[in-house]
Amino acid sequence: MNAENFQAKASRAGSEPTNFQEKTFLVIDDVVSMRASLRNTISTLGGTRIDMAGNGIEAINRLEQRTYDIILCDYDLGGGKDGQQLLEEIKRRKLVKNSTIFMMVTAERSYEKVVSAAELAPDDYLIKPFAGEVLRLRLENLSQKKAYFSPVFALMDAQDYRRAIQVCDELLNSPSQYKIDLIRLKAEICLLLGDYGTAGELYEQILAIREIPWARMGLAKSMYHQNNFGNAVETFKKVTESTPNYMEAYDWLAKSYSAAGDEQAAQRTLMAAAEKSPRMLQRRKTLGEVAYRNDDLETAQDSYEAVLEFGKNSALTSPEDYANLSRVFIDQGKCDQAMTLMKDARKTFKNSPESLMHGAVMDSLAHQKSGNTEAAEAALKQALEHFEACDNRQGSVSLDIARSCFQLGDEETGKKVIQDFIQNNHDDKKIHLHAEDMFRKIGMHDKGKEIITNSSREVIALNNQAVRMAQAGDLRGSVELLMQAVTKYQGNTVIVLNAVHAILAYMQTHGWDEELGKSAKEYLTTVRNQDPDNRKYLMLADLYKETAKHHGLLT
Amino acid sequence: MTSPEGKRQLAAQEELDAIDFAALFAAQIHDLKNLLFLLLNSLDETLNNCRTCSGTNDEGPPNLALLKYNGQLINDKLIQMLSLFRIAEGPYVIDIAYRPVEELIEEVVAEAKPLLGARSIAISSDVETGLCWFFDRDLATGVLNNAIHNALHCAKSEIRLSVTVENSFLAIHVEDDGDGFPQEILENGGSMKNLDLSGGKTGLGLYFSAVCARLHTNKDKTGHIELSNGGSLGGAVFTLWLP
Repeated sequence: MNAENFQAKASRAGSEPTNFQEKTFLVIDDVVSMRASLRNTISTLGGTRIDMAGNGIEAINRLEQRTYDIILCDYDLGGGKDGQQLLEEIKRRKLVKNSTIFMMVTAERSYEKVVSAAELAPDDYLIKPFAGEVLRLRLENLSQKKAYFSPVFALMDAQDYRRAIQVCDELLNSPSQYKIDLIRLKAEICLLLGDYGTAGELYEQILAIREIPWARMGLAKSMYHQNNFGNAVETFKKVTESTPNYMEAYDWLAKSYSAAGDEQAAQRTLMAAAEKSPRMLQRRKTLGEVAYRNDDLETAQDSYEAVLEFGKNSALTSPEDYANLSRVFIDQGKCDQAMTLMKDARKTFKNSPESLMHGAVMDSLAHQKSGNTEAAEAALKQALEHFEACDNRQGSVSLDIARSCFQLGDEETGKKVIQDFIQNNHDDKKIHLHAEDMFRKIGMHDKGKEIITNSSREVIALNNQAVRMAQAGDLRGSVELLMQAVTKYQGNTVIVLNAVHAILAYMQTHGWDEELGKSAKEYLTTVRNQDPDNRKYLMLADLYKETAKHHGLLT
Repeated sequence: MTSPEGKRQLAAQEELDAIDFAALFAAQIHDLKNLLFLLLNSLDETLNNCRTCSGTNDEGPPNLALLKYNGQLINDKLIQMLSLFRIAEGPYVIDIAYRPVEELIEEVVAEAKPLLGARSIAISSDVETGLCWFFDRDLATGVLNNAIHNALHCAKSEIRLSVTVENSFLAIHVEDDGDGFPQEILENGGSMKNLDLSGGKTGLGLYFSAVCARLHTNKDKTGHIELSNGGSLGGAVFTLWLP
């Protein structure tokens, strides 16, 4: 296929001029005169319902109160969040409808490089200065585009992904100027549903026409998800070479290196990326983790310090970030610094249960390191009390507690904590890696590996037994086994979702069961609250609806 | 021994030497564009007030249109300088997307219309509805605005934009009915040879256009610009070729 016969001969018929008088506008700019100027431009288009916001916080307040049709946002919002970060927060919190037009305004084109490479992009951007007439043309074209995609977006909002793909296919049957966007959207839905093969084919289809960075990126992601890490590394590398500002590509490249077992290359990649955009907290965090595993304490310290420094005054840091840095200090023998830091954490988070828990366990480790066993034991006792009472035991705290237990000779408790942690995350490679590393650091590498393997073996065996029962036709038995497993490993998303899957399979052959249906729904809600973007969850939520509909429930 | 005054001068010189002027200019251009936006918007506002007062819907007083035209020229130059700076700084990433060509043409025509003012120059365009192509919208807009502004300077009564597809290239033509390009521009237009920084006209616009065109590549094909005389209006013809 070449570009010529790919040309869309789409008509732009039926494009009634937009009546801007009916539209609600939100203008976000930190400069008063700029806001006034934009308001003036909008009123020349006929717009009258115009609200203003001078910064991100004001904008969010406005958006929480009402919905807007069109948002014009300046990229440079003075201090605090920039336009892109604001957009990301707005989209994550779903403060705008799919039909809302979000237009970024910027004085410089270099912003576009940020946008074209960002996962959450605005609908369009305008470079200052621009004429009112150009704004009108852009808004009209965008309204048309939104209208064209609205049936697909509506189905995606309803989490009806399979029908969304069907609608994409129907739209692809007739020529359209949006053909490339449509293929991209379909590929993204396929990635979401875990149909990586199809997604890869779609991206290849686009790459055959033209080398486009996001298509190359999508292809690499589909390789990664099919555990083809070698090719994923090569392909992500190609993106970073052709498009050095595509920051997401570095994160995925590092992830692929780690998955392929090359932690040193992963660290080098993340360091290169951190240098390019120093303020990306998540990347700094990952770099800290990788460097810590690589025993590069200096880099780990730099990274975790940057996380705290850049995350200051934003709700983006957690007590765990303090614990991460404190752990590095302890390994470096700087025990006083480690304890002062946790004091800071308690103060910053106003003695929240989480900050007390992290604080106590880091204190315990610091006391041990400086030879103060008595204080260490007291702190550990406190830490365990907080740990028992705390809802959020995700992340490194389990490992820190276990480490403290083992080092103080309480093997039993340490083992129990690790067991729970692994059993709730039995298929999370990253967590296994962290746990192994912890054991290596306290000189228990082999014993640790045994504990990890045994813990996950139990869950895997149970899971496999359920699968075998289902395959042998005992769907009911499989459901019961998995539901028991859910009671035992409540935090294990994989088990919870497998239970849902088994229930749905059972009801598909044996008809709807009120009790089981209720359990499935509850399980789905649990996972949704913990991990709303979980791919398997999305797929099963979809299947749940379909099964219910099939049995005449819901609509 | 250096006098205190000499020391102060030396310190001042050292301070100046430490400044990265390229980056400073780039940052200042950023601010200038913000200011220009405010300036051009106040101009629009004034124009609107004039219309409301006079009850007509004409282009307003000719000197306002001239103000706007010169404002646009300043903006062209800022865009050109900033873009070339970023490209030189490298690596420059261009944002190729599949877009309707008609939208691009509509936008540059809409930008040009208020500049015509009292001059009786007509601007028309001919592009097939639904024709889409892969290109970087901002670079293409910058190139076309520059070509249109050049044409505005030379045209007697008419400027015409047209789009054709030839040999897997998209060709956007900007024609006028003026006297055509002088011989030396026809020969060297778009090359660095034409950049004469000491003279008044630097030819930066054409150089910028050539660089932007070249950034568009598709497999083994590369974009370019072409200058000729004649065409359908008998004047200068500027063509942007995109693979």
